[in-house]
Amino acid sequence: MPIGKDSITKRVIGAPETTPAPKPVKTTVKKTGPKVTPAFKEGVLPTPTAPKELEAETAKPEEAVKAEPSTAVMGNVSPEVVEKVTGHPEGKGETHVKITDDMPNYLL
Amino acid sequence: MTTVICFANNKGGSGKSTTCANVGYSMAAEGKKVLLIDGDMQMNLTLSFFDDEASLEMAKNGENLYTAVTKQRDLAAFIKHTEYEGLDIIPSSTLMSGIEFELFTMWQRELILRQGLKAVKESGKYDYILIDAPPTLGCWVMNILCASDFLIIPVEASPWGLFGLANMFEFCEKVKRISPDLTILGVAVTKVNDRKNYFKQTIDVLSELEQEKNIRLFRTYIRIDSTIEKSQDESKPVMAYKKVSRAAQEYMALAKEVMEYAHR
Repeated sequence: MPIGKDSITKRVIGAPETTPAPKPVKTTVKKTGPKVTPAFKEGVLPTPTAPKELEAETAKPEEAVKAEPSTAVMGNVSPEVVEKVTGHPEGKGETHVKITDDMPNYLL
Repeated sequence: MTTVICFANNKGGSGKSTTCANVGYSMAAEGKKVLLIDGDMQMNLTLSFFDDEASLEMAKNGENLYTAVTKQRDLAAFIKHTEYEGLDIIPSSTLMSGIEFELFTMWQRELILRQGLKAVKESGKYDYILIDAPPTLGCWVMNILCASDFLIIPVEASPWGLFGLANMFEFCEKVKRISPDLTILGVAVTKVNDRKNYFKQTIDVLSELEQEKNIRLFRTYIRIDSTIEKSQDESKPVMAYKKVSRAAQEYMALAKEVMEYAHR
């Protein structure tokens, strides 16, 4: 299998979203025309043109996947870590933090 | 308002430093105030503007990024003027090879560079700050991405180039947990031989990526050109070395694309 193409199509295009998209959901278009191989001239790619026939279909709104709130707790951690995770200086003095999905790996 | 753009890809030899140097020079030639930051221990960005003797002297005497980061100083004190109007640089050092170990024990270690750059950015002295990243995916590159508003990924049209690009996207997803505002400005294809079939395949794959994931493929691509190596040998950006060269024109076109898209 081609390493280059597979790397992008499977690992990037086919990868599930792990972070919420920063932009609102867009309307996608479905090509019905044949794929045209662009011509390359003078170090510039041709500007993509819209296919002749476009069938607009509204993308399915991103299903709000509400993860179950984590109840796992990490104990015996330093006050600095507690402060970093909670983001509040008042975290100091605590020795337990709740484990969340967005917690950096190195803390776990 | 100052815009911070970094050039990163964990694939070595993808054209990060050359693109950073020449896009930066082209922006300055267009009248913008530009600060370049050399984040790579190979010092190639520094060598684009200073000869080897001057570069190694700055690497040794502490007037470099390594000192600024390890001592957590304001980066403004480490800025050097180049011989070109509107173009400054913070040089690197070979000591940067040990930066991962230096960062390890620091508090909020992913944000050291962002903090050091804060005053320079807020001063508004520069229109653009361009950061050249090393070909790694560690805490230091995370620092560079966290300090940046935009990321440009130079990629070579090769199978291993695309494999490295996939690694880069996966890394970006992790960085966005810490720095959610980081935006991938686009993928710039470099070292192109447009007679090769693989170049066309690469463009097909990257066009699909653009359509499916909304990740921009810059319309300008940089073709192989011996003028680039010759300019590097003279410690000059290609446009300063030979303004009428094909490479100089392509970098200028790329810089104009970057300036068109890189704003919040």
